[in-house]
Amino acid sequence: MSALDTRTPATETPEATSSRGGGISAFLSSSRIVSVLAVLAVVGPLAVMVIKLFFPDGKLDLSAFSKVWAEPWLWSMLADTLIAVLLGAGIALFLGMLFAWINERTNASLGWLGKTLPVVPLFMPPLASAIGWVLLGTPGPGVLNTTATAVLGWVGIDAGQEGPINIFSWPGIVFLFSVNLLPHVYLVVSAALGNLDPALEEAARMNGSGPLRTLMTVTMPAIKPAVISGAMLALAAGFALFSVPFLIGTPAGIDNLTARIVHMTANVYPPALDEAMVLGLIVVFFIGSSWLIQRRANKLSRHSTITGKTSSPSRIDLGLIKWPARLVMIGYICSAIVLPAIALVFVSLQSYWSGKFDLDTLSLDHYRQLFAPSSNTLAALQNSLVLGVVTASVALIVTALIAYYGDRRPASYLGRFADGVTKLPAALSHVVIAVALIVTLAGSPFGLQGTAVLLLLGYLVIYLPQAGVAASSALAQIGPTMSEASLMSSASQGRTFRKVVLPLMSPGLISGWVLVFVLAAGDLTASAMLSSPRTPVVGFVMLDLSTSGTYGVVAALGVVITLISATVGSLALAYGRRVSGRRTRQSI
Amino acid sequence: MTTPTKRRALHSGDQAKRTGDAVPGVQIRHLTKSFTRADGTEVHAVDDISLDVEPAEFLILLGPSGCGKTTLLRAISGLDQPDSGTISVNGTEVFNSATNCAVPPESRPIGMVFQSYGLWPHMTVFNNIAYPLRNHRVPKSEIPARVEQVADMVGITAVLKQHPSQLSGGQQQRVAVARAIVSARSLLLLDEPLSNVDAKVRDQLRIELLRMQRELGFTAVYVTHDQEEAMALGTRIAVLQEGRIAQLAPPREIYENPASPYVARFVGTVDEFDGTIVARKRGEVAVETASGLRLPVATSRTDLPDDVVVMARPERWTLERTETVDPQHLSGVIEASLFLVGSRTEYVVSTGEGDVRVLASHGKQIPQGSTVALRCQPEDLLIFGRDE
Repeated sequence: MSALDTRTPATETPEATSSRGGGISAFLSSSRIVSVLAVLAVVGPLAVMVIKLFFPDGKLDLSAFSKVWAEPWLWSMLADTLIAVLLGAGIALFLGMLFAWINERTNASLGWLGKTLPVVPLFMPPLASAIGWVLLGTPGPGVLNTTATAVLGWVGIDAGQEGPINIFSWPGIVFLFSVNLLPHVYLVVSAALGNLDPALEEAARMNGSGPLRTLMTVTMPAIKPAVISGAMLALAAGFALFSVPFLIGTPAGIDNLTARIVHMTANVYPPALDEAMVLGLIVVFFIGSSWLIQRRANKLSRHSTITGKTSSPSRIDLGLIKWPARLVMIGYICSAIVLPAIALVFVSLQSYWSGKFDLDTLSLDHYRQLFAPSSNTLAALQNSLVLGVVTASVALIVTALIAYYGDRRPASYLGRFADGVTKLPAALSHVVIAVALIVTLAGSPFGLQGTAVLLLLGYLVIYLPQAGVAASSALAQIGPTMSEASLMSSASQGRTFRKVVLPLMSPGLISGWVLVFVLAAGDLTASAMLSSPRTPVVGFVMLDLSTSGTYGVVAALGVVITLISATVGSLALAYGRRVSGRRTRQSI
Repeated sequence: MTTPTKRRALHSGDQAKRTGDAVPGVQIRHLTKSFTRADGTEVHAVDDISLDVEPAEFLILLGPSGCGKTTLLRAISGLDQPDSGTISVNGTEVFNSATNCAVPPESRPIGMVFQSYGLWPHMTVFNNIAYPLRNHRVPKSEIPARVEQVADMVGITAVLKQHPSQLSGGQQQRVAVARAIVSARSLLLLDEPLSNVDAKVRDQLRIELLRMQRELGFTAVYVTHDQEEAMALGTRIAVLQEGRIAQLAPPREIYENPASPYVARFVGTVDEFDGTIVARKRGEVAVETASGLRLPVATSRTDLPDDVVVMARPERWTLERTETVDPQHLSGVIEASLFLVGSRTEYVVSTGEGDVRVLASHGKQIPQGSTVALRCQPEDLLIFGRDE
């Protein structure tokens, strides 16, 4: 008999847990608690909202509905909302598909720049770009108008006092809606095109179809599910968009559902919560039905089998229209980030906004004002950064734990359920979640109105889906063998999670962290509703200052928050590249 | 390669002798596990299997994909839970559906080697191998010596500081084996460990695995769909068919005396002839095929139905050139011949019974198109009822 066969029974019997297996129950029970808390945080406020809406005093009472029904502005507001969202999403769908096709299939591809197209808006918080456009397109002193007037005047055309561009108009609103919604379409469609086996298209070309015919008869049907979900994502985001309707729509007299809800909860005293809830229900109805349409469409359409990429597709030579195609895409990138950013920098560096960039009035006053000790802009910046860090860290840890807990064998139904629930807020608008939180926690017995706790909770619930998607895809890339090999090496579930799963998930978790940090630090909608002068955050202060016309400081704040987002984002991207360079994907 | 004495030093902490009573390595009773497919049908991946794995035995679970071999292995490991039955390892129950006992995988005294290696890319080879030792709270000072000893045993001492992604497939699987045996578990589970490495390395690793198992004396349960691998490695082979054990026997027995047509077809190649028994004697029957061919077959079975299938192993035939064709004996024309490694030739002979494969190990090459008579001893033929 060999040495191995003569082991002491004590270390061989399963009961003897001299191994680090003692943490099983601790890990599992903490996973359970976290799952239950996450489900409660998401579902609880929504349930309370629905109950309070239908049974305000314990019995069925639909007076809130009749109140909304009687509002004189109801129908025009709904019509305005639908026009802006449908037109904006329609244009975004067309351009998004076009850009995806150009980048994935033609020689006009912008390469690296094209790949960053969908993340471009992330580098700039929605409010910053909207304010950028206010500064660009205001009739008269708008930067674009002063520039255009100067150029036109130089060639001898009088553009008048106002200049040619008025952003506070229907074309302006629809333009900004499409700029904001385009990334949602682009992201999904370009991914689908990238995953589509080029052999399908090559077979069509070899059978005598021209490029356009191939696109219409082979490519489009194959990516139809992606196109539909891109369109629905754009619609859902359109109904949730607040920065543009508030900043551009309100002065232009164009009403909007989301802006109304924020107005009713934040700007009216006492807050018209009952009506806000009814309007929130309408938002849920709109967004919910677009999700249902998407599910049906996906079920009905026959998916082509999307295999791993076998070869890179041959690119179509666009010939003469190559550069025009590129210019359209570059034009988009300029509209989404470059021009607003220039406008913000420009205005933030002028002591007062006259519409001209004047070296004589160049000053850092706005930044000084912004960073002045005990100013509420500095407090807001600090609060937003801290809340962003805390939100991102908590959200990622919670979703990573839930993802692993739901994925582990034997299957945990609570884990799977929690995994699904944490992705639910993506299907709801930020305003709806914020209204639900206000209804549930702002008043007695909790009395959390305007506190950092309520803000944190709001950010957490709103951005859990982004964290959850990052955590799930990070986990999916690891494969079950990694954790199974650890368990078979006598490591407990908790130790397996800490030593094997978490380190391997880290590149995905870090990019998820950055995404959530950037979104939470630059958040506008929830901040507008949940923040207060007691705990100011960036979104809240920017809104406040822009309504009072203090554009210089707003612009400076926009520049600072954009710089922070962009820095954190690029650092994380660089780190991610270094880590994935060290390991090859195949071995995971 | 290290000597057994060195090995003993490696596990010097575990010198206590096991009490002599023969507790089987693994004891499985009435194990059942079913899955529900997406279309709602139920699949019995493991269907009431009972099985004893003897200590220090190399047991092969062999079968095509979907036969339940991996499900059975994962049930032993604890990574998957069966629906019912019991599993004991070293005489201790680790799973019992009746008493709701399910020891989690990390608390079972088992090492495992995975098909896809399962090496952690964020740890060096050293840390991969040291990981189980750290989980067992082996004193820090002992860890380097023990890691180096197994690394030496599997021949990867040179790459201990590297990350797994820098290694070849064969080296990665060596690391996986080292990690599985480093904590000196008495039971090792291997899930198709050699299916991802190329043929040369596979042959080499097969020999090394067998040597390690003999030297260290662990019990091995090894899943494969490769019959050659099963033949080469197994002390015994369990051939699985649709969640049940079709036959459990040593390799030679499985090959020469398959329990069913399924086993005969899965292990090795067979030529098949459908026929009817026309005469029964003690120890022998005469089978006549539809085309009038008569085959005497030696068998001890008395329960055979009239409709039977006769099977022959390709290497059992002898070929002889002939001019006259006797319908009572098997003859045909050589359609193709394939030279194989080791001076063997495989002939495909077109006969009245269809194509017959013949493996000739020596003798003169017979040219294509020749007419040949095929002969086989009655005791070299296998016979089964048509419906078995």
